[in-house]
Amino acid sequence: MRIKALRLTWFRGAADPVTLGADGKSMGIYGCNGAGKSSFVDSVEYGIRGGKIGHLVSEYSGRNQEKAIPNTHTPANGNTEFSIVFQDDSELNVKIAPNGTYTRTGADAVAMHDWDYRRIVLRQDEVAEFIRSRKGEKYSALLPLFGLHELEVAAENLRQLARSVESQAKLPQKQGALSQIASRRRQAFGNESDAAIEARIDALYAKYCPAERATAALDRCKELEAALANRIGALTAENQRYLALRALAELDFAGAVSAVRDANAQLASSVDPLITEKLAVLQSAEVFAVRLEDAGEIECPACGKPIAADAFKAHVQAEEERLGNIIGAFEERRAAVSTLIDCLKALKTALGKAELEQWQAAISETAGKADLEWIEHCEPESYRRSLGEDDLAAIATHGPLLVAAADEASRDAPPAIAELSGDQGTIDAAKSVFESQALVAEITRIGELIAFINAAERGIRTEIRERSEAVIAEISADIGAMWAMLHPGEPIENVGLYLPDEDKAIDISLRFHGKDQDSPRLTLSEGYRNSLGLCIFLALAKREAGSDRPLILDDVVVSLDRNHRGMIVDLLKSQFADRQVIIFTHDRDWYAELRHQLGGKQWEFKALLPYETPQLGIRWSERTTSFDDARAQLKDRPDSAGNDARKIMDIELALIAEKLRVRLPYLRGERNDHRTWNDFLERLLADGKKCLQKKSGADYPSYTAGLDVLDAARRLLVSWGNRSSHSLDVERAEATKLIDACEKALDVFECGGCGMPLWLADAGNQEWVQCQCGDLRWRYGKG
Amino acid sequence: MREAQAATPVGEAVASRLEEELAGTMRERALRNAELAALARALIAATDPTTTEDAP
Repeated sequence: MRIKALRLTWFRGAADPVTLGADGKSMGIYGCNGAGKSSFVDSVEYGIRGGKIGHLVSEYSGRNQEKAIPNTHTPANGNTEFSIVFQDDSELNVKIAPNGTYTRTGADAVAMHDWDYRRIVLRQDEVAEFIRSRKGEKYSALLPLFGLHELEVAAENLRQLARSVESQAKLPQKQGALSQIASRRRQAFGNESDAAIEARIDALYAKYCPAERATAALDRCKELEAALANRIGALTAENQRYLALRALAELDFAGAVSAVRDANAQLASSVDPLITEKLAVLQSAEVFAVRLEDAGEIECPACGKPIAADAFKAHVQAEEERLGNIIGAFEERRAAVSTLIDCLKALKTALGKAELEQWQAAISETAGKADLEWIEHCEPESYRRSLGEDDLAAIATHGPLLVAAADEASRDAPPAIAELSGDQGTIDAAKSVFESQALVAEITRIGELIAFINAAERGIRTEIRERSEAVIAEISADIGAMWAMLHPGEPIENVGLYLPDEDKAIDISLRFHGKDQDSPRLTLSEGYRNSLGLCIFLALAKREAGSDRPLILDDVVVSLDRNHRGMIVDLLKSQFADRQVIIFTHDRDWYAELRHQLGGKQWEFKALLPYETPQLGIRWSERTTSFDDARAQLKDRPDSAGNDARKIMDIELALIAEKLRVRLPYLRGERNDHRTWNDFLERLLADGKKCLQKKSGADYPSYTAGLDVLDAARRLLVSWGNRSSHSLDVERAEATKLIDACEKALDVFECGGCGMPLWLADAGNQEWVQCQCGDLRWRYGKG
Repeated sequence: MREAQAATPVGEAVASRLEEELAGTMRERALRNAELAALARALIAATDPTTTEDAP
C-alpha cells in the first residue's frame, strides 16, 4: 500500500504538525544534516515495529524509548503523535504517552505491523548490515522470503519429538537396567556368547529335566528352576544348610562395592568441573546477553569460555555431547548401585532362611555378631536414594566377612551340593540374560523409532535446503544483475548468495579480479560493500510479498562515488518503476541529479529547511532546490551563503546542459570534469538565443526575457559569486540578491504554466524537447 | 517420509501416524510438551508388535 502522507507532531525532530505529502508518488527529499529527514523514516519504522526504533535502542533511551522519541522541547500541552495516510485513504494514527506507551488506531486493513521492515526501509548505517551479519543471521533475515516457515516448524517439532520419545520410553533407565544385567552376565559367564550360555542350559536341562520337552532357552530355565527346587526340597536338613551357605558364599560384595566406587569416581570427575562452570555461567549470563549484540568473540552461555561467534554452534553441540556422556555415567552408577542392593537383598534373604538359624547362632558367639547386627538393620532399598562412602565402607567391611564365614562353614559340603549350588547360580544368571533379550528388543525398537524420526527431520531439512537454493539462485541473479548495472565492466563479478555446508546459514560469494572469494569482507572496500549491501537490499525488496509497499532509502549513497551514485538512478528506473520509492539524502549533488533525471509525473521533489530549534521543528522549504541551505547562512556568514549559491549553480547548470545536449568545447585531461557554472551558463546563453523558445500564438519565438534573467544571474555570479569564494568579501544584501538571481535563473528552465521542466517531453522527433503543456521549448542544435 | 522409512526399519503404522501428523499440526506451530509426549507415547506403542492394533 503506497503512502499518501506522513504527518508528525512533536515526534522526534518535529514540533507543530509537519507533513510529508507524497500523494502515492515516489519522492526525492533533500535536507542538510539534522534537518529532520530521518524523523519521517522513524515514524514508518515505529509503525512497522510496533513502538520500537532500532537506532534508538540504548541504555539511555528508556524502556519504551520515551526519552528519545518525543521532541525534547515538547510543551506541557503538546502531544507526541504521528499519522500515516495510505493510498486507500485509510489512516494510521499513533499517539505516544509521556511514558512511551502508545495507542494505534485505523488502517487495520493495511496491517502495517505485518510489513517486513528489512524489505521496506534501508538506512545509511544499515546498508552493510547484511554483509556484516553472521551466516546464521543472514539465513534468518532471508527465511521469510523462502516461504519455508511450515517446513522449519515441522523439522523443529520432529527434533523435539525424538527427545520426547527417548524420555517417554524411559530409554536411559532401560539402558541402565541392561547394563546391570550385562554386569551380572560378565560375572557369571565372562565373555561367553548367547549360544554358549544356551549350550550350558541345554546341558543342565538334559541333566535335571531329561523327560521335559521345552525348546525356548527361557522356558528351559524356568523348568530348571522348578526341578532344582524339587531336588532341594528333598535334601537333608544339613545339605539344605550347606546349599544356603554356598549361595551366600558366592555373593561378590567386594566387586559390587568396587564397581560403585569406580562409578562414583567417574561421575565426580565429570560433574565437579561442570558444576564449577555452571556457577560461572550464572555470573556471566548478563555479560553474555550484552556481548551477543557484537560480532566476534562471545562467552559461551553453557560454560562461560570465550568463543568465536561462528564456532558457537559447534561448541554448544560439543557441550550437549558432554552432557550426554555425564548422563551415561549416571546410568552406570545407578546400575552398579542396583547390583550392590541385589547382593544385600540376597544376603538378607539367605539369613532369613530357617536352615541357617543354627549357623547364625554359632557365629553370634564370635566376632560375626557385629556383622549380623549390621545386616539386620541394613535397608538395601534406601541406598537408591543415598549411598555415601560411610555406607560403602560398612558394606565392604561386614558383607565380605559374612560371605567368608559362610564359605568357611560350607567347606565340608558334599561335592554334589557344591555342584547343585553352582548350577543354581548358572541357571539364575542365564535366566536374567534370556529375559533381557526382550529388553534389548524394546531398546532396539525405540532406537529405530528415534532414528526414523531423525531421518524424517533430515529429509525435511534437505527439502528446506533444496528449496532455499532455488530461491537463493533467483535472488542471486537479481543481485548480480543490479551489481552489473552499478559496476559495469568492473573486475568484481559473479556476486551472489550461497548456502555453506552447515544448516541454517547463508553467505555471499564473488569473484575478485578472477579469484573466487567466500565473503565480500575479505576484499571489498567500504564503498563497494555498501554498494553490494544496497544491491542485496533491493534484490530482497523486489521479492517483498506486498509489491505495492513503499521503498524508503535514507542517505544510503554516502560512501559511493559520483559515478556509482549516478548508476543508482538507472537501477531505480529499470527495476522499481512501478514501486513507490522515497529517497532521503543530504547530498546536494545527488539530489540535483535525481531531480533532473527522475523529474516528471511519477516523482516529486522537496527540500527541508536547515533545522534551527526544537521549538520550530522540521520545516519544508518552498523550493525544490537547495537554495534555502544558502539562505540559512545569510545572517552570520554571507560569504558562505554566496559560495553555496555558486556551488549549487555549478551542479544545476551542468545537469541542465546535459539534458539540453549543449555541446561544450573539449578541454584537455581532467579539466573536462571540472567545469564550473561559467562554462555552462556562457554556452546556454549563446545557444539559447536560437534554442530557447516560448510559445506565442502558433509561433515559437526566442525567449528573450528568460535569457535576460540568465544573463543577470551570470553578471552577479561573476562579481559576487567569485568574491564569495575567494575574498570572502560579500555583504548580506549582495549575497541575498545573488541567491535570488540564481534561483530565478533556474526557474527559466521550468514552465510557468504547467510547472514542468523544459526537457519533460521530446516528442520523439529528436529535434526539440519541451514542457508538458508545450509553452516552453528547447530546439536542439542551435535552433 | 517414505525415504526415512526405507532407511530405518519401522512399521507402516508408525510411518503413517507420523506422516499424518506432519501433514497437519506439526507444520502449523511448535507443539507443546504435553502434545509431544502424547505423540511420543502413541508412536512407541505403535512400534510394539503386541500393541500395534490397539495403538491410539
